[in-house]
Amino acid sequence: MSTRTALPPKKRKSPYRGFHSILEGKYFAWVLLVPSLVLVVTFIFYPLYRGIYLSFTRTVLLEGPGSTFIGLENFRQMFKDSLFLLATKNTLIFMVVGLITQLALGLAAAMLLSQDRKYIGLIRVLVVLPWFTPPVVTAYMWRFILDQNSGVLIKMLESVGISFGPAGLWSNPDLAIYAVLFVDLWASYPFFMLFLLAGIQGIPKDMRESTSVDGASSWQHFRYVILPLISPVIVVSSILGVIHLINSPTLVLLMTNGGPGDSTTVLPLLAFQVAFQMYDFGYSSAISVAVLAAIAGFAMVYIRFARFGKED
Amino acid sequence: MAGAVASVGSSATSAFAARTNKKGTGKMTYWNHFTGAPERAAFAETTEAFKKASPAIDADIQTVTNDDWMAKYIASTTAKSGPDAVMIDVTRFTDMLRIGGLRDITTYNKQWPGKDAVAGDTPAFSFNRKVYGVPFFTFIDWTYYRKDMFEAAGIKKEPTTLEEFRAAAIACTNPSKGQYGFAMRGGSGGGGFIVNVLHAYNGSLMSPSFKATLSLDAAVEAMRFWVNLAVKDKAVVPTVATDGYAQIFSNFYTGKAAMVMHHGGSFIDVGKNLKYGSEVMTLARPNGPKGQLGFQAPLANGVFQHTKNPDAAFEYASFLGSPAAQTTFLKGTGYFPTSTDAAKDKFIADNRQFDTAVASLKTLPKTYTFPGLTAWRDLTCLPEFQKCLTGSQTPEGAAKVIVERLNTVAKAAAAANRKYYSDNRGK
Repeated sequence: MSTRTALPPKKRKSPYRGFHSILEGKYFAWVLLVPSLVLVVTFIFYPLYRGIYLSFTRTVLLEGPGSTFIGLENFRQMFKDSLFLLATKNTLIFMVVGLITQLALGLAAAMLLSQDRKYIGLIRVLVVLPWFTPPVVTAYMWRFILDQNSGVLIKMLESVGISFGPAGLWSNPDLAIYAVLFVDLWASYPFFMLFLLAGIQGIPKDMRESTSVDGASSWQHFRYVILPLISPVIVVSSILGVIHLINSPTLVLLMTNGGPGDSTTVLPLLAFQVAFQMYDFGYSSAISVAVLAAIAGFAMVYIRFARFGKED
Repeated sequence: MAGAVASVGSSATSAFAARTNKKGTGKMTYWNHFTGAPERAAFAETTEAFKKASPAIDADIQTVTNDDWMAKYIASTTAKSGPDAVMIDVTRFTDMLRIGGLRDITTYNKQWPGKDAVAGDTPAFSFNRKVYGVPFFTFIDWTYYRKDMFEAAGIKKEPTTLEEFRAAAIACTNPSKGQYGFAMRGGSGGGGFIVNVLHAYNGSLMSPSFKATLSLDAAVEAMRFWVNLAVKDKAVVPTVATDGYAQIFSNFYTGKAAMVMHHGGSFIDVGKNLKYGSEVMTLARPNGPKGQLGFQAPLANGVFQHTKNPDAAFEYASFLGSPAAQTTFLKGTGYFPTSTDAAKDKFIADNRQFDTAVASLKTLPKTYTFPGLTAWRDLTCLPEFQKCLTGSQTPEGAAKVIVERLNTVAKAAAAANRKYYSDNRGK
């Protein structure tokens, strides 16, 4: 005879039990992250990985599909390539001069436009317009404004005795890069202005009253109050500005295409030409990887130097 | 205009009635690199005619600028997704073929009734006995000159040699009046002229088996001639180092330059700005020691390798190869037809300026097409020439770089060619 033990009533399984366990489990955060991770991996990490991988290969489309692993050969070739070295020099000029002028003009414009005046909103919109203008339009417009034969600005400068000679500004290998920088200044300073204006407007107005009571001049107020308070904005906008200056060959491509000679060739333009005119994607990727490393290095050093995010 | 459209439509319809290729249907995207107003207008006209001839095909005609062309073509080929039909400039043909975006259309072409009329230029778009493009029209290089400026300079005879051309340019130059003999293209697109002058001094630059045949002596002579026109003779508009198409023609129209070199594609545009016969005339490109300074360069339309609609793509490409479509482009732009039937059009006989083109067809060499040509032309020849203009390079130094680089390109082309043959053996 056997004794049967009464079993507890069977608990009915919820059809959502698995789902609930995920919601309550420790992996829930990861589940929420999946869509973003898929996008980041697909559109950032994979292309980055492919670019870095290609930089270690010989991939010339004219030789047919496929790549051959060649280790550091592309990087070795880079440092023997006089055009790469010239492009590096031009890129540094473009970055340093571009950053200083755009930041300075942007800061000056932000200070002026931070004042409460009549129609200030309208003026702010007008000042920002160059930044909204497509680079193609900007390039062709300024190419003609600064054209030696028909350019309005060139004629105006000549009428006050400033001449660039019969060959003109664009044909002068020493000046052409500064002409492009001038156009980039016109197009990009509103970017700095917008950032800095937001920073300045975040400073309580009564601070100016306080410093006035203490007898501070406008310069002292700017130097010792405004500048320290907007320094995080300056750091962030500078890093973004440098990334833009190094990574955007559009103006150079459309206005000079690296010429006359190679005098305005910059690294992203060189990478573009090597990839899409010489079809050498391995070497082009190596140049791009070098630029990426340089930007990352700059950002790290700059943030550290500027002590961004640390309180004094 | 309406008549022209109707004529294009009707003749195209009759041409397709005889074809044995399968009729296309559905959406068909076509890429071209024409941005000029006359070219766009001619495309609008031919597209309307195509819609009447092939109503089952929804043709989407897209323009990709020359600057972006190869980047977009490479991206599409790599992604195996892009247009259905593409324009093929002959200088890019071998590059486009090796990159892998062109479909073999030999079978389509064999069954196309219109093939015989364009047979003369089909070999330029063929490789390894396979056809990849339907010839559309030919760029025939020529020179425009201002009759008024020639008369003022006392030039009675049109220049036929490079030395006569130089003498005419010098005679027309008067810097105090802001007048120069020649609007030389030394900026965007100027690389082609360096290839022209190298050919004129050397003869053929590359053998069919991809062996560079440019001698250093000839290259030095060529570079000296071209550079000295600007630097020593000062017979060239001083902004030459950055002058592209817009600038050279602006200088020509405004009387700043007496001569400009281009091809027949600017024929209609020039006629809108200056009166043929009394103000402007055409003349054949001058002869150098070893050849004429210029080329005839056909342009074709092909089918994209990864298209899902090859029937419609070929139908459109072959439509543009038909005499009626070519005649529309001839009248709208001045592009010389590749079709022997279209070349008989009365428009050519009625415009005496086309005598130059007809004569040049017999003398001008066919342009080069070898892997790496465009990179050598645009990234070596042109920058070296610009450096000579700005004083940072000598013609001798530039010639050395140009010859060395061509040798490298030839070796790479030969190696690529061997690999291409080996990869495609039996296909």
